[in-house]
Amino acid sequence: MQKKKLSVIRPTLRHKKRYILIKLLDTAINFDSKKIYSVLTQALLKNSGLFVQVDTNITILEADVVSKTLLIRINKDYLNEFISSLFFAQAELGLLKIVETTSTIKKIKGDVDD
Amino acid sequence: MFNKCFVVAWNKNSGKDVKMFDVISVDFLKENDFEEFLLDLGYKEIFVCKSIKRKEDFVFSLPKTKKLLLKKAVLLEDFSLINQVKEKDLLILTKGGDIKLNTQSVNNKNSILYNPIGQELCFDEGLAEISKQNNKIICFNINEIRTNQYRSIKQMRFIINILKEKQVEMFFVTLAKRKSDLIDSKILECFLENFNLEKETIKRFLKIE
Repeated sequence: MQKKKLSVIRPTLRHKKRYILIKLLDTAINFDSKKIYSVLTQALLKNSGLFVQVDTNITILEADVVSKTLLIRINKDYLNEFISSLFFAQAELGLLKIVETTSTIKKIKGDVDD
Repeated sequence: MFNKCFVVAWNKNSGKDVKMFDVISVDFLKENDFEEFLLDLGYKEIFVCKSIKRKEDFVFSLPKTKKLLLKKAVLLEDFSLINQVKEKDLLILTKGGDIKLNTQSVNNKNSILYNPIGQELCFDEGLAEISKQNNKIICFNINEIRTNQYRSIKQMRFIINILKEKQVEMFFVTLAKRKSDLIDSKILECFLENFNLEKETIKRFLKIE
């Protein structure tokens, strides 16, 4: 059988990502990643509108219940909009602290493991 | 007066040992482990503000802390109380909110106008011009956006725009009573970009190194 060649997106056309490590400092907040995702998207919608919310493509990669940290991946172009929207997210998630923002997941993984 | 020195220092952008600037309420000191919490957020020094309604309220002391430097600030509810201020190392904020209070505060060189946002828009280009002449700093409470979202955003956008035009210094405080009222500097830095402020200006206003 002839192998079908996979179509690969050229690096220049790929969306550049940013990885953000966020810590929830409020201990009383229920750490449910689905709920957190919903709060983050709603906050971004409120701050920047629907089109930015869709293009930002928020993905929660890791949610550590013990250390109360979130590893989030977003589109690089909307980094400022996303961070800005956390102002509104704080109303439901309590105080948030941005621990680190990196361009590759490898750089941030070390911090999560520590 | 402390405020004159404070204004000069602020304008020269000195005090580079300060990592972040904020004013919190005296009620915040009731929170458990407040010192570690503030240090963890990146504060090295912070102003603790007490609301002053009568002459007797001026007497208050701050707890001793190990690493965090606490400084005194007062928020005058009544503008006439400004003559009662005797302490030198005191950051004096005078409450704005209507045209009379804003005008009184802007004309006084020793105080900082706190939150010139009211039921209606009560800060115009004339007041911004006087602020510039008197070398004033205008202070905004960023948590006001959470409570009166539409009104405060609308008024703040207008006022910040004219202050920026007249090159008047501003600062943004939380006046936090609880831990959840505080805001991470990175979040605030990005959030303030919504008010058409440049990154460098925001960093200067927030005193971020």
